[in-house]
Amino acid sequence: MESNILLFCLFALTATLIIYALPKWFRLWGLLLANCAFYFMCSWQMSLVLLAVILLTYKGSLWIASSEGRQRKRALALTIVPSLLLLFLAKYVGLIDEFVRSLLNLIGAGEVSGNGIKTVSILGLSYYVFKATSYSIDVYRKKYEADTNFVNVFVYISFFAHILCGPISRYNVYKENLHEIGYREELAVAGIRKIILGIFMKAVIADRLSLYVSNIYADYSSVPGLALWMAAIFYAIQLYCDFAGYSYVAIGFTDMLGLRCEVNFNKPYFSRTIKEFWSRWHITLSSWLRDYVYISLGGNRCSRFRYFVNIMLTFLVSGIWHGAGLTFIVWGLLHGLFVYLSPKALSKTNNKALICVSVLITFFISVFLWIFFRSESVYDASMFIWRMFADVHFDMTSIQLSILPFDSRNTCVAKFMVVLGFVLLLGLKEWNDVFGKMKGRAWMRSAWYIFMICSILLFGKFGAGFIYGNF
Amino acid sequence: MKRLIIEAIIAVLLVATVVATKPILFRKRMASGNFGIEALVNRGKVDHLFIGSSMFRSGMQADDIKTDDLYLIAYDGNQPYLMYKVISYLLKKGVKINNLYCDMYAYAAVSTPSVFDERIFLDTDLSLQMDVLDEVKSYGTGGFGTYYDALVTSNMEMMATWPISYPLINARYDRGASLPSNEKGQAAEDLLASKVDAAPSVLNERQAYYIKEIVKLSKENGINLYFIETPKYRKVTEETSYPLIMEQYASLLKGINMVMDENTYGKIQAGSEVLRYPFDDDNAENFSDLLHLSGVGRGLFSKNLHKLLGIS
Repeated sequence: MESNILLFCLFALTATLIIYALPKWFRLWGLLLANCAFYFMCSWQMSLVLLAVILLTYKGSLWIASSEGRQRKRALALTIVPSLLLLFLAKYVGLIDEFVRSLLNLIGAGEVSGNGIKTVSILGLSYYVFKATSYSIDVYRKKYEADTNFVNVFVYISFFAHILCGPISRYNVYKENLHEIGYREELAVAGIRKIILGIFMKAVIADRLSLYVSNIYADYSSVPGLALWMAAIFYAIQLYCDFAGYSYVAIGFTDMLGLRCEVNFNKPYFSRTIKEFWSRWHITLSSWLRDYVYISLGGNRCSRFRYFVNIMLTFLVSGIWHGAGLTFIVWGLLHGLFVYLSPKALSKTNNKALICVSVLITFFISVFLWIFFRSESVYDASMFIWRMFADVHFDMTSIQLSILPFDSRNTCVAKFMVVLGFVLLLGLKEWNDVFGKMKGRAWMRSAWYIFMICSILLFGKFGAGFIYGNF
Repeated sequence: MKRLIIEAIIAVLLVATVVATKPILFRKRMASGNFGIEALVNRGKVDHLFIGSSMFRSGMQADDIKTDDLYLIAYDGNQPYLMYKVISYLLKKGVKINNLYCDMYAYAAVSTPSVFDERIFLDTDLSLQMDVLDEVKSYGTGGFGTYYDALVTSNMEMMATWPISYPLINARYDRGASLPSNEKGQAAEDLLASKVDAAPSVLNERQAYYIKEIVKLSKENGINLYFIETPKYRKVTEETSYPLIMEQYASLLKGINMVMDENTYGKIQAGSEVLRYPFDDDNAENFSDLLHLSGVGRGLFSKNLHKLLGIS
């Protein structure tokens, strides 16, 4: 269920319909039971970890709320540090162990015995720890009161629709409609539309591209440069459609339940600068990092150098959050650098040519940075990029070899053309949403949804996991 | 909500229309093609019919054969159960077959019934499709998803891009066989570095059953039957499981014509009726991977095979 969008939707739909049928006073409990059932079915072994984080957050936040001065700070530290430490250990302990062993071998201390520590995979840990942390810090900052109702906090942190890959919603947004759980037509329709868009992006585009991207990345040294360009661009699109697709589905079910949460993606590849990109990509993580890391470090109300350091540290945390490995750190730091270098003038200009050029440049910067994100090592990423430029030919053999990894010789052209068609259509639709003038025409909206439903039924590929579920 | 429901109903109706008309459209369009089952049904008779897996497709070309009465049907990973179903389908459709050549592919015979190549659903009617799917459901690993994939999503890419993709594919075939090519194979070190997929060393019961059924069906219809092993890179035939499987395969075919690589033949205790061909299966130039012949290898093997079988 945690790796199949169809099963996830089936569970979510069943839970939603059951909750609709429950009496109003029992719906919050119904949601709590659904959350428990979901987590237990996906990863019952790790249920106690989730429960411990929820208990710690609930009790700790009440303690924070009742304390003042240094005591309040201590309460905050004791509430959030254990969860964050757990997150760090679960992600990094294996890597640190490996690094220490390599170092000991290198300095001649001999082979270290034992099998080494394995990285523990705890379903959704990165997401629920960040939600729990934001809740505790907001209580500490007196943004809102600590909730005395344990069920409210439990349901917020363990919400089944958000636990796999976010969004990392905030407690105050979630709390607004907590007692309105149930069917509300307007929200339900909006939710279903988001779910259709999400499944379309995930099952029709992302999972269709994943085989090609995996084939090329697995054997990048023996394919032509053209295939590397294609794989790099397609990976950027795959990642977007995979993660945004899941987010739309998750937000769609949140809407269907009558709850609300923040938008997580807003056409990121139509950003004019990398700074704008981060206000459109994984918005709930970006705003989390902004509010709890960047602003805590001092934000931009400081010297130019300190501002640079703050940005770099924030993106370093972002890199570390995404995964254990140097590739993620390099990816994070490079993003930090490009955010720092983002020209402010571009976000204000009305010059259409300049807007087009800046959107294209930003897109290709993100494409190149995703190569670090996807590669096994920094060396692989560097070689991949080097070969993209060193081995580009536009002859027939190159084109054939670049399209062939889509499938067998007989169907690769058809598969390539179909996925390209879907990508271009989605791109066109998003372009129209951002810059176009055809917004709000009801028949176009209907045609788009009919097209998406048909595409899901006729072209959908189901069964692949969520890329962001690994973080 | 009303609008959304109407949109969903329209979408489902459109999908149902596509699914219902898809096989009819394909069959009609492919009747005059250079490959596929419907083109053969349209011919009505064939003197030499080759049926097998991608090893047959990459291993055979028809350019040196003048007679038009030769045809090749190949699906990736084609298994004995599927070969049987296709042969019976052709016979039911009234196709007259004189000589039948089946792919003696060891690894297909040890697998549980499955469909690797969705093109089997491209130009055949529902009777064969359901027959195949029922077999996979009963004896393989297929469930509802297999039916859905086969009947709804299969070959949709081909359909959506037909005006471009079909002429490209059709131009690659002559009577179902590949066109000649000078494409050389891989470097020896790459082939040696490739792993041979792990496979069971015992024939699958259903596949063994259908091998015998093919023999029976051929006898009933007066068809001369041959089983042909295409060359595999030496590394494969030296794997312990490969000769073991071939030994069991050959033992099922006592009294039936078999055509085998000398190298394989040397490793098994096959009957004396086996026609043996020499092939340099240690020369990487002849192979595009461990199992498939390159353009160069195809040219060499096809010429030898046709001579051995007396097809000209």
